[in-house]
Amino acid sequence: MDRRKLLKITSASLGFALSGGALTAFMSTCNSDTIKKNNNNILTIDQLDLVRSLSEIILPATDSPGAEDAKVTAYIDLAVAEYFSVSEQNDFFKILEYFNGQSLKLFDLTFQKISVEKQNKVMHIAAKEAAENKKHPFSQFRALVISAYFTSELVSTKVLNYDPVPGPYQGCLPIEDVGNMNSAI
Amino acid sequence: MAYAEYFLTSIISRAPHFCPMNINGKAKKENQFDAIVIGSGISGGWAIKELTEKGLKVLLLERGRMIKHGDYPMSNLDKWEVPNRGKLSSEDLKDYKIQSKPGYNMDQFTKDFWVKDTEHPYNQIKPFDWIRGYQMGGRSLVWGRQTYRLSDLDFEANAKEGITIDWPIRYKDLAPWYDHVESYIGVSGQKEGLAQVPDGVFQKPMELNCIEKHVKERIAKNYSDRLLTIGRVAHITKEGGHMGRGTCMTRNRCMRGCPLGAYFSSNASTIPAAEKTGNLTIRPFSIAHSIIFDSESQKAVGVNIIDSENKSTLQFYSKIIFLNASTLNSAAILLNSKSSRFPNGMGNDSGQLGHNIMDHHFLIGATGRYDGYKEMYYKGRRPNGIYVPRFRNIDSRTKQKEFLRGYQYQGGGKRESWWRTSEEEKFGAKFKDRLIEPGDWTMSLHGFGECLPYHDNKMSLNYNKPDEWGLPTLDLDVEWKDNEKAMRKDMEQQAIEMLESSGLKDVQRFEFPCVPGLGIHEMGTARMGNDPKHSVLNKWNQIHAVKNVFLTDGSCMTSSACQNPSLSYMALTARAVDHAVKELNKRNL
Repeated sequence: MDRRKLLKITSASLGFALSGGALTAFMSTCNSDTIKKNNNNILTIDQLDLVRSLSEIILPATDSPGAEDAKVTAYIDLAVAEYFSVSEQNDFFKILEYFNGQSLKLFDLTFQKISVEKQNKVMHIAAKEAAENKKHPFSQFRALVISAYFTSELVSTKVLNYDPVPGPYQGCLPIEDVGNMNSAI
Repeated sequence: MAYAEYFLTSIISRAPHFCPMNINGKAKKENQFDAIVIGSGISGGWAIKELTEKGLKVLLLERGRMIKHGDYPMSNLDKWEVPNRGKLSSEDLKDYKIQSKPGYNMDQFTKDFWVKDTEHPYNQIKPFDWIRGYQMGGRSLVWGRQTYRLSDLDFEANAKEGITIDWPIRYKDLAPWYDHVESYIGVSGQKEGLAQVPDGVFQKPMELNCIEKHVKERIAKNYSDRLLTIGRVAHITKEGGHMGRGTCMTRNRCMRGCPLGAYFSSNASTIPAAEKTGNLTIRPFSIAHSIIFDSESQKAVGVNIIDSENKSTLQFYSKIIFLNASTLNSAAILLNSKSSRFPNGMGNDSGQLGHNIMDHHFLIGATGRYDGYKEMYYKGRRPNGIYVPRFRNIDSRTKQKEFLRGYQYQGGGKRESWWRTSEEEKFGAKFKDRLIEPGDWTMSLHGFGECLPYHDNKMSLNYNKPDEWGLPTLDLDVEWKDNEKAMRKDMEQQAIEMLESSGLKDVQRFEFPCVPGLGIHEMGTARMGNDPKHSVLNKWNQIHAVKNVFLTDGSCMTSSACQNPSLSYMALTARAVDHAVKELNKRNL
């Protein structure tokens, strides 16, 4: 990993309030070999894993693809690395810290170490706490996941109605005639 | 003497220097034209088309880069094929702090059609968002395509209300030119027979969707003084295309440039038409510095330009000049064209040059949701919205106590998409499955209001803060005043009432900060009028005192009306060219 990326991660880490060994362990590794092997951009293996779990809880696979099918984690990793400013990256890492913090508070373990049922509980409480507050870490993370999901090629072309050249506008017809909600252009 | 005059414009050493020119035969042949047009935007494009088609050899000076129709690399890309899924990052936005303010205009696909604020600074004496596109075609590549005629209600308003000066024309003067332009560019719209916004030459109207039809019917039932219709828009809806341009496929990727040519831009339409005549020379990267005035003949004889790439200075000469550099830039060029005859800028005997700046104020209205039509949806992404024509201050019955003039509504309906989060479930399987389906129908009415002409709303040239080409930057001093503020209260109230009486729920007002300039309809800096003491241009868009210079962009507007103005710029241009060529043939110019 080049020095620029290393610096970004280090300064992001400095933005955290260290609160216990577990948290330190979560944030510790900036192992360039591990990162290269997994084609990561900025997130560590543990962070990728956490994002994957969180995303899949928010948008699970059902009859239609879930977050992982739509490569949401990989996209978030890329976006945070390439398109987020340093302060936006810091904010993002704080969001990840929030979820682990909640998990530790409730179950004395980080998010990845608790059962799926307990993970859902953490999410429920976070969602309730967030309520209508768009700036709450839960709301922000969910917005990121939703955006990454719905602008993905898979969802835009296979789930939503992908219609790059619709022809003349037809203003009021049954949904079945269109297929599904239009994907964004 | 002539030498000294040119150095009046070179006050500081960094300003460009122009060699005194010799108009008596020594001017190079390749720099001599019948007409020069400054600016290739929506009005400049019409000037070159009409001039070249009438046989004149025309030089088009455009300050930006060349963009040939079809040269639209972003037009077919999908979100996942561009950086950041199409959104601008914080890093991107550093160059576009002001240009990104309208919101809808800027993303990864369209950012190259807007200037970088870092390269084109100006000075806000009062807040003003000056939104610009400097490339071949100008903002005709990125405009909203809403196309409405002005009427005598607009042309007579100043005179009837005793506000500033009368327009020197009436609707009957412009009507045949509206016909001429609309027939050529292709306008889709619905005839409604309203005097205040006359019907035009229309192609098939675009469809209203379910909720819009619903609201239209309810408004017709609940009100006798207003109606809702489909927007009038410069998109081709005729099957088989029009004038060699393709039919609109409702892709709604317009502002990236349309390879079909389905919406009107100079690039797709008027520039190729002019090129086809063989009479057009195009010079991009050419910033107009000033218009050259010859004191002997008391005529303009040419244009001083600065090459934007290498900063060299050149002169070009012509019999007539069409100054279509957009409202603020056209006035700036005239203000910078000083001579002993025009110490305050060319054509500025009245002192009105640079004053009376108007724009449309908007960003206020209401939205609501509707509990119905759950099985219905729409096909296509219509690049157009609804239109509620002005219904205030039309006649004695609709006269308002609180404000003069009027406003229109644009807006539209849609089904909520995956942005929505007001669901019971906050995450999980049910949450996702619901987000994949269309949400509730919602409808918005977005008010768009007229601005009165105020002398105090003005611009001036700041020679102490030159740009990188040594040209003075603009000081912009504009604000909304009492009439605009009073009108906005009604704009909001009527929107709420119309949606509520249409059976919509959760009707909420909206208002976003609306700074002059954001409407991107800035106008008025070189207004038309009958009296040279109070206006810059006469009824033919000629500068009163320099009759071979024409201004037909937004600078010429004597009042702003509430209708989107670009159609009027195009019609005024075609009419002015017709007059210019007739005058040339009569040897009056």
